[in-house]
Amino acid sequence: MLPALVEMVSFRAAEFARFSAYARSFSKQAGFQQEVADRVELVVEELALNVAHHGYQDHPGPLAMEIAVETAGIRIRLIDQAPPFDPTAFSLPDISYPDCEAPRCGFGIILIRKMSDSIIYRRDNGRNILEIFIQ
Amino acid sequence: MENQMLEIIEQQEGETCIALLVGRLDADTVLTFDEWSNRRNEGTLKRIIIDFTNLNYLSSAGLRAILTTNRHAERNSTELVCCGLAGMALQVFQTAGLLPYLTIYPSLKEALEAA
Repeated sequence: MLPALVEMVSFRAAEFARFSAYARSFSKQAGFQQEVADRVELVVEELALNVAHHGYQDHPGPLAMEIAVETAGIRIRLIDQAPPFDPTAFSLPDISYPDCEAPRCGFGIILIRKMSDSIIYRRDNGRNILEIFIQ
Repeated sequence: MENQMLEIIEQQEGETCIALLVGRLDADTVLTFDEWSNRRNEGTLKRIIIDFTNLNYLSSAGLRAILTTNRHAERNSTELVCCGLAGMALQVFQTAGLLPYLTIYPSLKEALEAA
C-alpha cells in the first residue's frame, strides 16, 4: 500500500474531523461515489473518536492514518499507541431501545463493523494497527 | 463546497414544531442539536417534526442525540416524527437497526397530513 497520508500527532477528540474530512476528500478525489465517500468518512470518524475517548481517555496521544486506493476500493490504516483494543474481537452490542440514552451505547462500533467490507486488527510493538477496506 | 456545519431551521405551526436539519449531524455539531432539543423539550409542544431532507451526513453521535430527543419527547407526551430520511442518513439508521423505534414518514407533507 502506498500511503497517501501519514500523520503522527498529539491527537485529541476535537481533532477527529481532520482525519475524517481528509478521508472523505481523498475518496472523492479518487473518483469514488458519494456513498463510498460517506462510508469512508463515517468509519474514520467513529474510529478516531473511539481511539480518543476510549483508547486515550480524552488525553492527547498519537494517531496515524494511511489511506490508499486499491483496485476495487479504499484501504485505510489507523495506528495508535493506546492500550490494546480490537474492535473485531467481540459480538456487536445488543441495542435495545431503553438503553439508547447511555453516553456510550455501541452505535459507533456497529457502524464501523457494518459499514466496512473488511477489518483486520493486529497489535504490534505497542501499537494498535487497524486496517479497513471499503468498496 | 458542502456544508460542514449544522443549521436548524425552525417553523412553528400551532402546537407543532418543524425543524429542518441542514448540513451535518456528527460529533462536531451535535451540541447545536442538543441545545435545540433541550429548548424544544422544555415547552408544551404536541408534536415535533424533524425533517432530514437536507441533512447530508449523520454519525453515531447524531443517532444518540436523536434517540435522546425522542425519549425526552415521550416523557413530555410530545410526539416526535422524522421525515425526509434518505441517502446517508437513512443508511445510518438502517445499519444501526433503529428504524423500528421511530415514527417516520417519507416526506414533510405526509408527516403533516398524518397529524
